[in-house]
Amino acid sequence: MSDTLLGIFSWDFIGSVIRVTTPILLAAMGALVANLAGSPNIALEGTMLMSAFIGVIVSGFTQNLWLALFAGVLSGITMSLVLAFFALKMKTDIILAAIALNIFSTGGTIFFLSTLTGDKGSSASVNSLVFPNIDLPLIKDIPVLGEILSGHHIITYVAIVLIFVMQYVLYHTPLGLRIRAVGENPDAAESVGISVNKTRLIALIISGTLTSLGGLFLSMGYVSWFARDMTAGRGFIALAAQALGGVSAFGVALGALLFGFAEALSYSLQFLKVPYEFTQSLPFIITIAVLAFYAYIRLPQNVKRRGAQSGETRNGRLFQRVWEYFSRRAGIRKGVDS
Amino acid sequence: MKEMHSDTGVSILEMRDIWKVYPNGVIANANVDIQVRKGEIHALLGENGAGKTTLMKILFGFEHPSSGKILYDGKEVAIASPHKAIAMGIGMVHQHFMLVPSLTVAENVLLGMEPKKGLSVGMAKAFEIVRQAGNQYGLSVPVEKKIEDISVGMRQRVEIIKTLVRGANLIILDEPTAVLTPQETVELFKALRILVDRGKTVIFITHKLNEVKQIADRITVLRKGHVVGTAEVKDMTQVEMSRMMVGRDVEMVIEKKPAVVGPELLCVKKLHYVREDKVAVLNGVSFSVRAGEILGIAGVEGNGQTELVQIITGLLSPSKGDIAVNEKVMRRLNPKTARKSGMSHIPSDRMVRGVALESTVEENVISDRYFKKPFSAYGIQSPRKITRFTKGLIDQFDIRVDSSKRSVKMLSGGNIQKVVVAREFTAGAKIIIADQPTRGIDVGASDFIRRQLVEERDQGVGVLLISADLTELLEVSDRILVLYRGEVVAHFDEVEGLTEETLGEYMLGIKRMSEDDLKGYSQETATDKEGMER
Amino acid sequence: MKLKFRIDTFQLYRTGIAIGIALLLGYIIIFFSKIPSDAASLWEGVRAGFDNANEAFKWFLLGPIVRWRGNEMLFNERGAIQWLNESVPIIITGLAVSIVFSAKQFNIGAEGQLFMGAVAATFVAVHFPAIPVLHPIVVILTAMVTGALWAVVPALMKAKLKASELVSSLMMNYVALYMGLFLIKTFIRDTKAGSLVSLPFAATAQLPFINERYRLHIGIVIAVVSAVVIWWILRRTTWGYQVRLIGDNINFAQYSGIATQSVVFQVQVASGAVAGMAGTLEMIGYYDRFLWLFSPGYGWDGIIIATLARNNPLFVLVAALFFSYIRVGAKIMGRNTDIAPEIVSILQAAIILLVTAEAFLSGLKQRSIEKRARKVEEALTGREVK
Repeated sequence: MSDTLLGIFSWDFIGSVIRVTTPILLAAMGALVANLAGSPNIALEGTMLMSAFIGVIVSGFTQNLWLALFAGVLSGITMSLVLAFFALKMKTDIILAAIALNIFSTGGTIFFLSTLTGDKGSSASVNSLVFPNIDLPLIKDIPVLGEILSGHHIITYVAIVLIFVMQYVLYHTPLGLRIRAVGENPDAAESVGISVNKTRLIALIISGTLTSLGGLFLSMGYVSWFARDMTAGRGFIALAAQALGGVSAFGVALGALLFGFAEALSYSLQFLKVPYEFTQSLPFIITIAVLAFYAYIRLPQNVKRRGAQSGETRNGRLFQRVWEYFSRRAGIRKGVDS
Repeated sequence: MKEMHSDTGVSILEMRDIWKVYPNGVIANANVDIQVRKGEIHALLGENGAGKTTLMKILFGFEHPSSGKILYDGKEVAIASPHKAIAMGIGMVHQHFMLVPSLTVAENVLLGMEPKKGLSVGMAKAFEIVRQAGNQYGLSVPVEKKIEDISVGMRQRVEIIKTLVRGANLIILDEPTAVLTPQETVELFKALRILVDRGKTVIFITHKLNEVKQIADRITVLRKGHVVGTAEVKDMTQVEMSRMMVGRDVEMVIEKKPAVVGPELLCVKKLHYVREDKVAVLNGVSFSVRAGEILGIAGVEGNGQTELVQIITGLLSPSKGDIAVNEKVMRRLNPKTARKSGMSHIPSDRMVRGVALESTVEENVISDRYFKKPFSAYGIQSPRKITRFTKGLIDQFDIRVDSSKRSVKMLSGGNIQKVVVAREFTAGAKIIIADQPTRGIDVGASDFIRRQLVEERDQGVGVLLISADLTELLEVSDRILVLYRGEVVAHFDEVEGLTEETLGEYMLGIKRMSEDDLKGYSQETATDKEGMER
Repeated sequence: MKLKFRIDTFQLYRTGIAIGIALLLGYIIIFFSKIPSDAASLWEGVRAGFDNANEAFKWFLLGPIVRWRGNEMLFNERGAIQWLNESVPIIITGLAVSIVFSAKQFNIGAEGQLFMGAVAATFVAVHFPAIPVLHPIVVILTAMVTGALWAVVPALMKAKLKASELVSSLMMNYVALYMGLFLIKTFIRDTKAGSLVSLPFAATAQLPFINERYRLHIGIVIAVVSAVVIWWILRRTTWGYQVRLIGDNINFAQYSGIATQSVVFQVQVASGAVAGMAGTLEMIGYYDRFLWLFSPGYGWDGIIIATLARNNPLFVLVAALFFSYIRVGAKIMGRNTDIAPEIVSILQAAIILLVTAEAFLSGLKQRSIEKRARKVEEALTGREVK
């Protein structure tokens, strides 16, 4: 038993966590930037699916990785542009527009797959390419550490770099300042001549770009083909990861990691004869529990009636709040002791 | 009255024949002409709802006119967005500040024109720019603090600096004094004078005549979306201005019989309320309302009135203290139990709480009694009886609407308030909490509502009236309390002979009655009482 | 009254135009995908494209109700029945969602509720003592209770903790999927069958048929009756009044003395109960065992249908019947040509985007309102207004 347990938490397991976290992480950062701008992007699922499909098709037909990358990212941006056009310009409810786009992707990828290849299930007949894994020079030779850090997929490394890039962009650049201002008080931004729609458009394009990388990873890294519905809810999981992680890119990365961990665990635990359905549903149960706990500690003291005052719900900086909660608890206990 | 229009002086702005029709069919501006001269302070005067703010939003590119022409510096312009307005040199300080609470003063001021250091925002430089801009016009601000941490007066300064760093030559201020303390108002007026001395032009939206007299050079008066006239302030008296504003002499003579006071209906005991941000908004307020009297509460907005009303009506739970109705302390006080105990409530924020805009007049007037007979039986509504009842109310309260099934959003402000009042006055209440019952509605409707309040009082109802309109308070109330910083600082059991000036001194914290005089109303005496009770 | 009527007609026009645009888009896509690559000339290719697209659209638009014998058009009984049967689950989810939407709550948990409902119903359908008439009723009630219970978690979190129901109800969908499949697999799997399906239901659990040959079951009757009942509850009862008032302005409802928290909770649970039976009706009507391997997606359809129907239960019927019609049409097209029926989701997406786009054609409406308002102003002031 302990051998098996050890086996679960092996280097392979860590590698597996990193692998399954990558697409969730990218999409979750896509969710973050869109949310901060006040234009939540629920179309992550459809965006991922579409770029996974386009990447495979373009690489299969052109045998060119760069073109596949370009087309895949472009398809993600196009999805965002359509969402932005309808939500910002045509005043469609952004959530409904996103649901429409998800429906479009689900059916559209199958339709075009079948039109182009004659197969409705997967792109097995297409000779598509994959993006490479990368060995980090020098680091790969360090024992243990090299095994963990080196040899991952190139998009995984890109994703890790993007955590820092996004944190910098959002909190240290003029663009980030504008995105946050537009999300927090669009009227204020508008009153100083910042176009709310333009800023949200930019945020959605960034969101689409990040998410499309996640999609490309799925079909050109994680596996080497496109299959119908292959995102399997990862776009929605990314939303949950963002809800957990709050408003900083680091927090969001932690949220994504939690889901990646749970998913990887569900594969490993199958060796222990734990039904995979249990482990598969674990991240969702954890999310519900954490959201509940998070909401609970954010409740104001005299919530009884205030709670009913408005329909407003809470979302935000989870880890910060949890930290505050525990430090407050600790403080109270200290007070009692002394 | 257009002949008052004179054309001396160089005009910086002219708006000609402006029309604005909102999607719901409401006409906010009709055939409006206005001309503003370079270097003047031009007051735009009018009652709430006269179309002042809409007109300025058009000027600032927030709204687009349905038709009309705008000339700026002699050239015809189309102002498609605030961006365009700013580029032309127009700045606006809105009634509700356009600031991002979690960002710093400097970030707010320079939003959209941030100095750069590499790819990042150059914070040090940003602080310097804002500090300098402020000092140049005598407006110093704490540049590194977050907006959520500074006072309202400070925030307004930030707003003005925002327009200045963007090169504004024409600055629009929308009711800037509404949220300020008297000292802050003085400071603001000083700053405005400096601005004008340095060549800026100011448009000042207000409905306060004394402010116009103090600060403005010329006025344009709007009424119901139309321009009534333009004039030099020095040529006009306040009475003349008020006539232009309201269209007739304000006759506020309400026949009032002496109050026949009955038992204590509502008793507020040592009420404390501390907001989530730790600010103590109410500090031990105590008073009572008796049957057959109107108790008025005076005070500058933001001195705890809102919280007081919300606590009494069960929308907010107090940090400390009790509410007793009919000498019974209310344990689980919420809107439902409050209404059950015989309270009705005319809320100050009628669009937020007073009505459901998409719903019909019928649905709005039965919202507190839908479950009772004859409006429903066994959980099933009786549409015909509801309609008949509503039609009765429409007649009785003179609500101008063609059908009881019209959705409330199609009604004018005054008529919406009449819907609220119709419901609250027919609830069979023993206590009526009237919070700013006539705010922002036309004179006719206001007069009607005041008379209704007095009539209810004559029927033996206890009325608590909270109003920013001192004339109204003095006219209607039998007793008056003054609330300042969450405390009762004065009480007058006799309204006869009391003047607005006297009330003003207490409201602004210049005067305060002695603890002896305040026995039973203020904190200290309240604690004494507690000691005696235990 | 007149003004209101005019705006409603406007909505009707707008929906019609949106559907027209979506169909045109579908036609264009089919046209381009059906230009043969080996056409002799461009002209030949284009003509073949038109011919193929016309043929495909004939099946798509008429297929559900028409079949051809030679050139003779006959009523397609089988297609029509498929149309009605397929509309049942989405009518039900549309109703479920329109209940929560009426209170302006945003619950996207119908998917999980109907899945869990169907799983629980399966157990009762297989094991419950077989009493005719009573059996299907118990099965449906079980599904409803389960759906309601599944809605309790996000509803409680919303009511007690003010946690956004958007994420929590979404998460519950996945939990339902995995837990449901686990329960079926572990306790009630038909080991003789090749794929993962449950044991067959007891014969007494089946819904009665209206047309036995093509399996038209009474689910459609239940759906229509539900729509009318829910319409009546929302429009005519005090509970429905509370729900609508909360949907219009929750602050006002609270101020008026309505227990908003508890009504919001009730709304979520009631919606869960309705959603719970969506899958079950199909399962004990058309099929005879549990055979889903994935979430069927009816919950998402429900959101769209409720939105298109503007939360009016009677319009839900129309919208769901329309959606089911174009889906069945697409399937019939897919059987008779080699065009993948999934093209219908492109059309659906276009319809949703255009119908819910407030700005779509809104210029027309605004102009007519302005004209009217000016006339009123003229009449009131007696002044000439341009």
